Amino acid sequence: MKSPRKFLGLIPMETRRRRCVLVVGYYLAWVPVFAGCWFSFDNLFTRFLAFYFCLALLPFLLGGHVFSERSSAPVRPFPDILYRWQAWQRLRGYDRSPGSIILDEHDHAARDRAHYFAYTAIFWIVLLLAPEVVLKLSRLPLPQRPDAILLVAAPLLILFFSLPQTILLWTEPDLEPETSAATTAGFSRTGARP
Amino acid sequence: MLSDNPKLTLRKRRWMVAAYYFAAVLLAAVAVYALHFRHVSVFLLGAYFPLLLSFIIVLGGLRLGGPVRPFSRRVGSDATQPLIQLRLSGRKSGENVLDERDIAVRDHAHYVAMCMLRFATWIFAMVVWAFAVFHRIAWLPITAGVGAFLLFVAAMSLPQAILLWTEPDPASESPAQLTGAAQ
Repeated sequence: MKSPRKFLGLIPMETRRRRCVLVVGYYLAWVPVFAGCWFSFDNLFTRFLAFYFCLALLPFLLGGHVFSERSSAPVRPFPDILYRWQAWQRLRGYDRSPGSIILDEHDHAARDRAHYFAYTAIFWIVLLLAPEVVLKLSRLPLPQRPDAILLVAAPLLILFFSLPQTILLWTEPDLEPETSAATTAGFSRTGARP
Repeated sequence: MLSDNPKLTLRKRRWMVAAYYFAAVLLAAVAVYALHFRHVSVFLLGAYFPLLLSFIIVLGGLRLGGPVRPFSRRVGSDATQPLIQLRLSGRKSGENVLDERDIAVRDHAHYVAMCMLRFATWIFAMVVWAFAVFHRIAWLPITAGVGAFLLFVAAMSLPQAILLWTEPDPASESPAQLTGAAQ
């Protein structure tokens, strides 16, 4: 995770301090977002749809689950398929897009380790809370259950879709910005570097 | 990342994973029945706790002795001692030290599991919402209950299942082969 990363394409995220502020700000921002989804609509399914829409979009601000090799989001893209596609292109001798990202072994290990910690944390939260939640939900009257389920599931889903990225943002050391030569290096069809 | 049991071949491990998830689907039916008829104790005794126990015992990952070694780096040993244990007593210390490959495989299995669960969660949410939009309200509690329970089952066991399904069989070496290699 070495190249300069920017939040919303504007705010550099090289220092760990800024990234920690981003993580805290991201989770605090969910409070008004969820409150807005909840109180703006009376119908449960519309609330759920609004929350679902926000859950789909907001984690992209952190990065990680993007399928673009030119993404400058704070967390570099996770999907392996991107890098396999790059490796295939390089093997075939095709030009690689300037500024495209390549994950090295450290980045792969950091990505996988962040997912391991995130998964373990959510696993224990679900395991320990599930019986209590099921008991309390079963005691609620039927009309109140869907709302209660949404209230219980929302924090878990927010964590589930963002915890690996926030772990990376919180734990990775300060980044050294790459030079412009390094970011624009590419291969011509003949294999010679420009 | 797997335990040192030569009898647990890749084929047997895959059958174990398939049987585990088949049993989970049956337990999902029990869970739906219990929750639908408000028999929470039936749910806890008939579905949740058996699933929990089976997950811990059958697949491993949390304790020594399962097909998958514990995910924690050292389980059952005194990991705080800085000195290497000489093990002069000859007794097994129960130590479970993961090497770099084990850690990489473990972490990658969790990454893949999380990607799969993420995709499954999206599909589940869309199905629930579609049921609501197309007015299948009567089926919604059952659909949501079954889906949530199956997601729960997957979340509890997916990394272990991935490891059991994908890890190759450990190479088995006879003593003759070992002494031949040493010479």
